[in-house]
Amino acid sequence: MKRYRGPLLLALVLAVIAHVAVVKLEPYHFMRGAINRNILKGGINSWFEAPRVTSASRTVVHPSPELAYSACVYDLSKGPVHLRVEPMDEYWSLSLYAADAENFHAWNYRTSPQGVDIWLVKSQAVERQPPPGVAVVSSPSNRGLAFIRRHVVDDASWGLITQARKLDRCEAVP
Amino acid sequence: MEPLSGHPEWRSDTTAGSTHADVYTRARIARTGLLALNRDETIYYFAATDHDGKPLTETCTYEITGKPLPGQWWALTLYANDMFLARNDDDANNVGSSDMVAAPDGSWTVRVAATREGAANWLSTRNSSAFLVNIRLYQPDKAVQEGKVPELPVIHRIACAAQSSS
Repeated sequence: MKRYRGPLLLALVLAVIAHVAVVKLEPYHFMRGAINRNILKGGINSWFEAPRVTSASRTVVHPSPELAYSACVYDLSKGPVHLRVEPMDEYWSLSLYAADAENFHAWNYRTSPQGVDIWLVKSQAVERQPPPGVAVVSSPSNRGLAFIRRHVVDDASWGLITQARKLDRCEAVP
Repeated sequence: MEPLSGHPEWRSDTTAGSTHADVYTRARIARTGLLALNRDETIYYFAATDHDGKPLTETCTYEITGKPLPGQWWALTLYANDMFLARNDDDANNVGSSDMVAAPDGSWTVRVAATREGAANWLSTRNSSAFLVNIRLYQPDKAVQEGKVPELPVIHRIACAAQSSS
Protein backbone atom coordinates (compact mmCIF):
# COMPACT_ATOMS: atom_id res chain seq x y z
CA MET A 1 0.00 0.00 0.00
CA LYS A 2 2.85 2.25 0.94
CA ARG A 3 4.31 2.16 -2.60
CA TYR A 4 1.04 3.59 -3.99
CA ARG A 5 1.06 6.57 -1.64
CA GLY A 6 3.44 8.66 -3.78
CA PRO A 7 1.65 8.13 -7.11
CA LEU A 8 -1.75 8.64 -5.44
CA LEU A 9 -0.60 11.91 -3.89
CA LEU A 10 0.82 13.04 -7.23
CA ALA A 11 -2.44 12.14 -8.99
CA LEU A 12 -4.40 14.09 -6.38
CA VAL A 13 -2.18 17.17 -6.77
CA LEU A 14 -2.44 16.97 -10.57
CA ALA A 15 -6.22 16.61 -10.35
CA VAL A 16 -6.48 19.71 -8.13
CA ILE A 17 -4.23 21.70 -10.48
CA ALA A 18 -6.25 20.58 -13.51
CA HIS A 19 -9.53 21.44 -11.74
CA VAL A 20 -8.37 24.95 -10.80
CA ALA A 21 -7.00 25.53 -14.31
CA VAL A 22 -10.27 24.47 -15.96
CA VAL A 23 -12.38 26.65 -13.63
CA LYS A 24 -10.11 29.67 -14.08
CA LEU A 25 -9.95 29.29 -17.86
CA GLU A 26 -13.69 28.78 -18.34
CA PRO A 27 -14.57 32.52 -18.50
CA TYR A 28 -11.79 33.03 -21.10
CA HIS A 29 -13.19 30.14 -23.14
CA PHE A 30 -16.75 31.47 -23.21
CA MET A 31 -15.58 35.04 -23.74
CA ARG A 32 -13.40 33.96 -26.66
CA GLY A 33 -16.47 32.30 -28.16
CA ALA A 34 -18.49 35.51 -27.77
CA ILE A 35 -15.65 37.58 -29.25
CA ASN A 36 -15.24 35.25 -32.23
CA ARG A 37 -18.99 35.26 -32.91
CA ASN A 38 -19.01 39.05 -32.85
CA ILE A 39 -15.95 39.27 -35.11
CA LEU A 40 -17.83 37.16 -37.65
CA LYS A 41 -20.80 39.53 -37.45
CA GLY A 42 -19.23 42.94 -37.08
CA GLY A 43 -15.47 42.61 -37.49
CA ILE A 44 -13.00 44.25 -35.13
CA ASN A 45 -13.26 47.84 -33.84
CA SER A 46 -16.72 48.18 -35.34
CA TRP A 47 -20.21 48.00 -33.83
CA PHE A 48 -22.38 45.01 -34.59
CA GLU A 49 -25.97 46.18 -34.17
CA ALA A 50 -28.02 43.16 -33.19
CA PRO A 51 -31.52 42.91 -34.63
CA ARG A 52 -34.45 43.04 -32.24
CA VAL A 53 -34.55 40.04 -29.87
CA THR A 54 -37.21 37.49 -30.80
CA SER A 55 -38.07 33.96 -29.77
CA ALA A 56 -35.76 32.79 -32.59
CA SER A 57 -32.66 34.63 -31.20
CA ARG A 58 -29.95 32.13 -30.24
CA THR A 59 -26.78 34.21 -29.93
CA VAL A 60 -26.34 34.97 -26.21
CA VAL A 61 -28.12 33.02 -23.44
CA HIS A 62 -30.93 34.77 -21.54
CA PRO A 63 -31.47 37.57 -24.09
CA SER A 64 -33.82 40.36 -23.02
CA PRO A 65 -36.59 41.25 -25.49
CA GLU A 66 -36.73 44.72 -23.87
CA LEU A 67 -33.17 45.59 -24.84
CA ALA A 68 -31.41 46.54 -28.07
CA TYR A 69 -27.87 45.23 -28.07
CA SER A 70 -24.81 46.57 -29.87
CA ALA A 71 -21.43 44.87 -29.50
CA CYS A 72 -17.92 45.84 -30.56
CA VAL A 73 -14.85 43.65 -30.29
CA TYR A 74 -12.03 46.05 -29.54
CA ASP A 75 -8.36 45.37 -30.27
CA LEU A 76 -5.84 47.68 -28.62
CA SER A 77 -2.70 45.98 -29.94
CA LYS A 78 -2.12 48.73 -32.52
CA GLY A 79 -3.21 51.67 -30.37
CA PRO A 80 -6.24 53.31 -28.77
CA VAL A 81 -9.81 52.70 -29.84
CA HIS A 82 -12.35 55.52 -29.89
CA LEU A 83 -15.68 54.56 -28.30
CA ARG A 84 -18.67 56.85 -28.50
CA VAL A 85 -22.25 56.21 -27.38
CA GLU A 86 -25.08 58.53 -28.37
CA PRO A 87 -27.23 59.29 -25.30
CA MET A 88 -30.97 58.73 -25.18
CA ASP A 89 -33.71 59.68 -22.71
CA GLU A 90 -34.63 56.06 -22.02
CA TYR A 91 -32.28 53.66 -20.25
CA TRP A 92 -29.02 52.85 -21.99
CA SER A 93 -25.69 51.56 -20.73
CA LEU A 94 -22.23 50.85 -22.05
CA SER A 95 -20.32 48.01 -20.40
CA LEU A 96 -16.73 47.00 -21.09
CA TYR A 97 -15.70 43.35 -20.66
CA ALA A 98 -12.10 42.15 -20.60
CA ALA A 99 -10.88 38.86 -22.07
CA ASP A 100 -11.72 37.06 -18.79
CA ALA A 101 -15.35 38.35 -18.97
CA GLU A 102 -14.77 40.85 -16.16
CA ASN A 103 -17.11 43.86 -16.45
CA PHE A 104 -14.35 46.39 -15.72
CA HIS A 105 -16.21 49.61 -16.54
CA ALA A 106 -19.82 50.73 -17.08
CA TRP A 107 -21.71 53.94 -17.83
CA ASN A 108 -25.46 54.54 -18.08
CA TYR A 109 -28.06 57.20 -18.81
CA ARG A 110 -28.00 58.43 -15.22
CA THR A 111 -24.25 58.53 -14.62
CA SER A 112 -23.48 59.91 -18.10
CA PRO A 113 -26.54 61.75 -19.48
CA GLN A 114 -24.26 63.36 -22.07
CA GLY A 115 -23.30 59.93 -23.48
CA VAL A 116 -19.84 58.38 -23.58
CA ASP A 117 -16.82 59.57 -25.53
CA ILE A 118 -13.56 57.82 -24.63
CA TRP A 119 -10.25 56.50 -25.88
CA LEU A 120 -9.82 52.92 -24.73
CA VAL A 121 -6.14 52.02 -24.19
CA LYS A 122 -4.14 49.04 -22.93
CA SER A 123 -2.04 51.14 -20.60
CA GLN A 124 -2.52 54.54 -19.00
CA ALA A 125 0.80 55.60 -20.58
CA VAL A 126 -0.79 57.05 -23.72
CA GLU A 127 1.68 58.66 -26.09
CA ARG A 128 -0.96 60.81 -27.75
CA GLN A 129 -3.41 63.02 -25.97
CA PRO A 130 -7.09 62.63 -26.88
CA PRO A 131 -9.11 65.67 -28.03
CA PRO A 132 -10.63 67.85 -25.29
CA GLY A 133 -13.64 66.22 -23.65
CA VAL A 134 -12.54 62.71 -24.53
CA ALA A 135 -11.58 60.64 -21.47
CA VAL A 136 -8.99 57.85 -21.40
CA VAL A 137 -9.95 54.43 -19.98
CA SER A 138 -7.54 51.52 -19.73
CA SER A 139 -8.48 47.91 -20.43
CA PRO A 140 -6.94 44.97 -18.55
CA SER A 141 -6.57 43.07 -21.83
CA ASN A 142 -5.74 43.91 -25.45
CA ARG A 143 -8.97 42.39 -26.67
CA GLY A 144 -12.39 42.63 -25.13
CA LEU A 145 -15.99 43.48 -25.79
CA ALA A 146 -17.85 46.79 -25.57
CA PHE A 147 -21.57 46.25 -25.10
CA ILE A 148 -24.42 48.76 -25.40
CA ARG A 149 -27.88 48.03 -24.02
CA ARG A 150 -30.79 50.32 -24.86
CA HIS A 151 -34.33 49.99 -23.50
CA VAL A 152 -36.85 49.13 -26.21
CA VAL A 153 -40.09 50.53 -24.78
CA ASP A 154 -42.15 50.06 -27.95
CA ASP A 155 -41.91 50.13 -31.75
CA ALA A 156 -41.41 53.92 -31.76
CA SER A 157 -38.44 53.69 -29.41
CA TRP A 158 -36.87 51.07 -31.69
CA GLY A 159 -36.91 53.76 -34.41
CA LEU A 160 -35.13 56.23 -32.09
CA ILE A 161 -32.56 53.58 -31.21
CA THR A 162 -31.88 52.98 -34.91
CA GLN A 163 -31.15 56.72 -35.30
CA ALA A 164 -28.91 56.83 -32.21
CA ARG A 165 -26.90 53.81 -33.41
CA LYS A 166 -25.79 55.79 -36.48
CA LEU A 167 -23.93 58.18 -34.16
CA ASP A 168 -22.20 55.47 -32.05
CA ARG A 169 -18.51 54.93 -32.75
CA CYS A 170 -16.07 52.07 -32.20
CA GLU A 171 -12.99 52.69 -34.34
CA ALA A 172 -9.21 52.55 -34.13
CA VAL A 173 -7.71 55.99 -33.50
CA PRO A 174 -5.80 56.83 -36.71
CA MET B 1 -27.05 29.96 -5.74
CA GLU B 2 -29.00 29.70 -2.49
CA PRO B 3 -32.73 30.55 -2.23
CA LEU B 4 -33.33 34.06 -0.91
CA SER B 5 -34.64 34.37 2.62
CA GLY B 6 -38.45 34.61 2.58
CA HIS B 7 -38.54 34.00 -1.17
CA PRO B 8 -37.90 30.26 -1.64
CA GLU B 9 -38.48 30.31 -5.42
CA TRP B 10 -35.97 33.09 -6.14
CA ARG B 11 -32.20 32.89 -6.33
CA SER B 12 -29.70 35.60 -7.13
CA ASP B 13 -26.00 36.00 -7.72
CA THR B 14 -24.93 39.00 -5.70
CA THR B 15 -21.50 38.92 -7.30
CA ALA B 16 -22.60 38.60 -10.95
CA GLY B 17 -20.57 40.93 -13.13
CA SER B 18 -18.51 42.02 -10.13
CA THR B 19 -14.75 42.19 -10.05
CA HIS B 20 -15.04 40.56 -6.59
CA ALA B 21 -16.66 37.35 -7.88
CA ASP B 22 -14.71 34.20 -7.04
CA VAL B 23 -13.42 31.86 -9.75
CA TYR B 24 -16.37 29.45 -9.39
CA THR B 25 -18.93 32.24 -9.66
CA ARG B 26 -17.12 33.66 -12.69
CA ALA B 27 -17.08 30.25 -14.35
CA ARG B 28 -20.80 29.70 -13.69
CA ILE B 29 -21.76 33.21 -14.85
CA ALA B 30 -19.68 32.69 -18.01
CA ARG B 31 -21.67 29.52 -18.73
CA THR B 32 -25.16 30.76 -17.88
CA GLY B 33 -25.07 34.57 -18.03
CA LEU B 34 -22.10 35.77 -20.02
CA LEU B 35 -21.90 39.59 -20.19
CA ALA B 36 -23.92 40.04 -16.98
CA LEU B 37 -24.01 43.52 -15.48
CA ASN B 38 -22.83 44.27 -11.95
CA ARG B 39 -25.35 44.88 -9.16
CA ASP B 40 -25.09 48.69 -9.28
CA GLU B 41 -26.50 48.44 -12.78
CA THR B 42 -28.80 45.43 -12.69
CA ILE B 43 -29.72 42.67 -10.27
CA TYR B 44 -30.90 39.35 -11.67
CA TYR B 45 -33.26 36.97 -9.89
CA PHE B 46 -34.03 33.49 -11.19
CA ALA B 47 -36.85 31.08 -10.36
CA ALA B 48 -36.90 27.47 -11.58
CA THR B 49 -39.48 26.37 -8.98
CA ASP B 50 -42.77 27.65 -7.64
CA HIS B 51 -43.26 28.95 -4.09
CA ASP B 52 -43.66 25.36 -2.84
CA GLY B 53 -40.41 24.22 -4.39
CA LYS B 54 -41.88 22.26 -7.31
CA PRO B 55 -40.09 22.65 -10.66
CA LEU B 56 -41.73 25.03 -13.15
CA THR B 57 -43.07 23.10 -16.11
CA GLU B 58 -44.98 23.80 -19.29
CA THR B 59 -47.68 21.27 -18.32
CA CYS B 60 -48.83 23.44 -15.39
CA THR B 61 -50.48 26.84 -15.05
CA TYR B 62 -49.13 29.46 -12.62
CA GLU B 63 -49.85 32.94 -11.34
CA ILE B 64 -47.15 35.36 -10.36
CA THR B 65 -48.34 38.08 -7.99
CA GLY B 66 -46.28 41.04 -6.97
CA LYS B 67 -45.80 44.76 -6.47
CA PRO B 68 -43.59 47.36 -8.16
CA LEU B 69 -39.93 46.55 -7.57
CA PRO B 70 -37.48 49.10 -6.12
CA GLY B 71 -35.54 50.24 -9.17
CA GLN B 72 -35.76 52.47 -12.23
CA TRP B 73 -37.43 49.70 -14.27
CA TRP B 74 -37.80 45.97 -14.19
CA ALA B 75 -38.99 43.07 -16.26
CA LEU B 76 -39.98 39.42 -15.93
CA THR B 77 -38.83 37.16 -18.76
CA LEU B 78 -39.62 33.49 -19.32
CA TYR B 79 -36.86 31.24 -20.70
CA ALA B 80 -37.14 27.70 -22.00
CA ASN B 81 -34.90 24.94 -20.66
CA ASP B 82 -32.22 25.78 -23.28
CA MET B 83 -31.75 29.24 -21.62
CA PHE B 84 -33.24 31.07 -24.65
CA LEU B 85 -36.74 32.46 -25.23
CA ALA B 86 -39.28 29.71 -25.85
CA ARG B 87 -39.79 29.04 -29.55
CA ASN B 88 -43.36 30.23 -30.10
CA ASP B 89 -45.06 33.16 -31.83
CA ASP B 90 -47.18 34.27 -28.85
CA ASP B 91 -45.19 37.51 -28.35
CA ALA B 92 -45.56 36.92 -24.59
CA ASN B 93 -42.08 36.12 -23.31
CA ASN B 94 -41.59 39.31 -21.33
CA VAL B 95 -43.65 41.70 -19.19
CA GLY B 96 -42.35 44.54 -17.11
CA SER B 97 -42.82 47.92 -15.48
CA SER B 98 -43.31 49.63 -18.84
CA ASP B 99 -46.25 47.46 -19.95
CA MET B 100 -47.59 45.67 -16.85
CA VAL B 101 -51.32 46.14 -16.24
CA ALA B 102 -51.52 46.84 -12.50
CA ALA B 103 -54.23 47.55 -9.91
CA PRO B 104 -54.57 51.10 -8.51
CA ASP B 105 -52.37 50.13 -5.55
CA GLY B 106 -49.64 49.00 -7.95
CA SER B 107 -50.06 45.27 -7.36
CA TRP B 108 -50.17 42.99 -10.38
CA THR B 109 -50.80 39.40 -11.43
CA VAL B 110 -49.26 37.57 -14.38
CA ARG B 111 -50.75 34.39 -15.81
CA VAL B 112 -48.00 31.91 -16.73
CA ALA B 113 -49.48 29.28 -19.02
CA ALA B 114 -49.59 28.00 -22.58
CA THR B 115 -52.71 30.07 -23.36
CA ARG B 116 -53.75 33.62 -22.43
CA GLU B 117 -57.40 32.97 -21.50
CA GLY B 118 -58.09 36.71 -21.35
CA ALA B 119 -55.46 37.53 -18.74
CA ALA B 120 -54.29 41.17 -18.64
CA ASN B 121 -50.66 40.08 -18.15
CA TRP B 122 -49.40 36.85 -19.64
CA LEU B 123 -46.16 34.92 -20.03
CA SER B 124 -46.49 32.09 -22.53
CA THR B 125 -45.01 28.73 -21.58
CA ARG B 126 -45.70 27.14 -24.97
CA ASN B 127 -42.67 25.06 -26.11
CA SER B 128 -40.73 25.98 -22.95
CA SER B 129 -40.56 22.50 -21.34
CA ALA B 130 -39.02 22.97 -17.87
CA PHE B 131 -38.76 26.75 -17.87
CA LEU B 132 -37.39 29.44 -15.63
CA VAL B 133 -38.50 32.99 -14.89
CA ASN B 134 -35.98 35.79 -14.64
CA ILE B 135 -36.42 39.23 -13.06
CA ARG B 136 -34.10 42.01 -14.16
CA LEU B 137 -34.12 44.95 -11.77
CA TYR B 138 -32.39 47.86 -13.50
CA GLN B 139 -30.79 50.64 -11.48
CA PRO B 140 -31.91 49.09 -8.18
CA ASP B 141 -32.40 51.31 -5.14
CA LYS B 142 -29.32 51.82 -2.99
CA ALA B 143 -30.50 49.47 -0.20
CA VAL B 144 -30.96 46.65 -2.72
CA GLN B 145 -27.55 47.34 -4.26
CA GLU B 146 -26.10 46.99 -0.77
CA GLY B 147 -27.66 43.57 -0.24
CA LYS B 148 -31.24 44.09 0.96
CA VAL B 149 -33.60 41.55 -0.60
CA PRO B 150 -36.65 43.43 -1.96
CA GLU B 151 -40.21 42.13 -1.73
CA LEU B 152 -40.18 39.77 -4.69
CA PRO B 153 -43.25 38.35 -6.46
CA VAL B 154 -44.69 34.97 -5.48
CA ILE B 155 -45.14 32.12 -7.98
CA HIS B 156 -48.25 30.03 -7.26
CA ARG B 157 -49.03 26.80 -9.08
CA ILE B 158 -52.70 26.82 -10.07
CA ALA B 159 -53.21 23.52 -11.91
CA CYS B 160 -51.40 20.90 -13.97
CA ALA B 161 -52.57 19.06 -17.07
CA ALA B 162 -52.04 15.56 -15.77
CA GLN B 163 -52.85 16.07 -12.09
CA SER B 164 -55.01 18.19 -9.82
CA SER B 165 -53.70 21.40 -8.29
CA SER B 166 -51.75 21.08 -5.08
